[in-house]
Amino acid sequence: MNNLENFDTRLELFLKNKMTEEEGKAFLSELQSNPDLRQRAQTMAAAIKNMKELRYEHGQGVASQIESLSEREFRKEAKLSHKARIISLHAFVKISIAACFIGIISIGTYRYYIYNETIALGNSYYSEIPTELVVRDADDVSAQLAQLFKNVKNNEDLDNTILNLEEKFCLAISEDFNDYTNYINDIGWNLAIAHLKDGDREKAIETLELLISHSESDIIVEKCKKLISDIKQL
Amino acid sequence: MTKEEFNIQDERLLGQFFEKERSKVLVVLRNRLSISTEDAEDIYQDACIALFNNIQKGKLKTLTCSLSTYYTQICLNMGHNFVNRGHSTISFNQMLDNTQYDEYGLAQLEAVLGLGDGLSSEQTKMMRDIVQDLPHPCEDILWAYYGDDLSMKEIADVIGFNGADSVKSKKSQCMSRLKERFTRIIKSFYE
Repeated sequence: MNNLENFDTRLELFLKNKMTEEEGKAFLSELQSNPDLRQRAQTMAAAIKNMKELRYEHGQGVASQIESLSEREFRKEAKLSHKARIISLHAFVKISIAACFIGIISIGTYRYYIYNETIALGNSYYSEIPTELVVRDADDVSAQLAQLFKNVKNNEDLDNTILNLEEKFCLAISEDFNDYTNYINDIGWNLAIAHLKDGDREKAIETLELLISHSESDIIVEKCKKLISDIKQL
Repeated sequence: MTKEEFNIQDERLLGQFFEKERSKVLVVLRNRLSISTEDAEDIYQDACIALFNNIQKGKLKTLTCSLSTYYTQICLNMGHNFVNRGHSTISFNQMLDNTQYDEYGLAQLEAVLGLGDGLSSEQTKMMRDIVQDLPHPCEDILWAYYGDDLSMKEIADVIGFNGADSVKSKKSQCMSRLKERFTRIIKSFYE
């Protein structure tokens, strides 16, 4: 590194406030006594200061533009390809409460729909969405979910399985990234099928509608819409 | 400028801002936090919505750093939260509030500029014009290095250079030309 490169490096350290107080004072004193180095330093400092100011002004202009846009217009400008998972805290609380109420009120729901046809529909749609569980981490979460999905497939312990899946679906659709976020499609779909096999078409539809609003997969969304349509025709 | 021309310019301003920010954020999240491109894309989009919400709520009225720096810091905070997979104790609002990040201190800049006779207002304006009219790729490199504090490798990835050494060499050339031009203009101004 030559002397000028060394000087430029020291100058950057000073400007980033990474020198000690003594080092800083010594550096400024050196600049004060050396006109050539002072001119070099002042040129760089002026350039950086103007870049910051121009960048700040540019950002203020962008922010003003964004302020005048609706969310839809903003999404178009920013070329956002899908509904981002972040929602307002108020909406998050509402959806969380709604999702939790699904779990709370599902027990004791009055089964007034055609039980066998509902179960048959659940059985026929079970294999339509292959689970992606096998390709993800071989950890407790995967093992838990694998057991729950197996219960749904085999119609075993449906009541507890539904409670479990509702809790995990609540987490999967929540704003904060967690262990279940990546399994949202698998959990949502299995929960909907579990409701069908339990004879509860209303809960199945509610689950599918929540999954439609949160899934990023066009295939899943189409499957959910088709299943909702078939359920309503029963 | 007609209203239509002004509106078209506004649209380009926004479009260019997001295009540049997206390229930068994807590189920074991948290089600094080893986040995959797919997950970085999700973080970019989530951060865009967070930025939009904060602007609508008027939270940027007291911003002291540039919008680009603020937005990059949101993405980095979200990236850290993603990497920690929900084990982080920082709340979502804290994550957005913790964005007043500024690498080059104004006090330090003013300390250097105030030495000797200092720079006159004319000289300061000359520098502003020079910086504003930097040619490609000097503008991209110098803005990225001094404005966004990207590493040489990150700048290479964003701009599409062969590697860190190429960027370093080009940055040095750009700064030299900037200084030469500034010195030449000052000399001609006082002749």
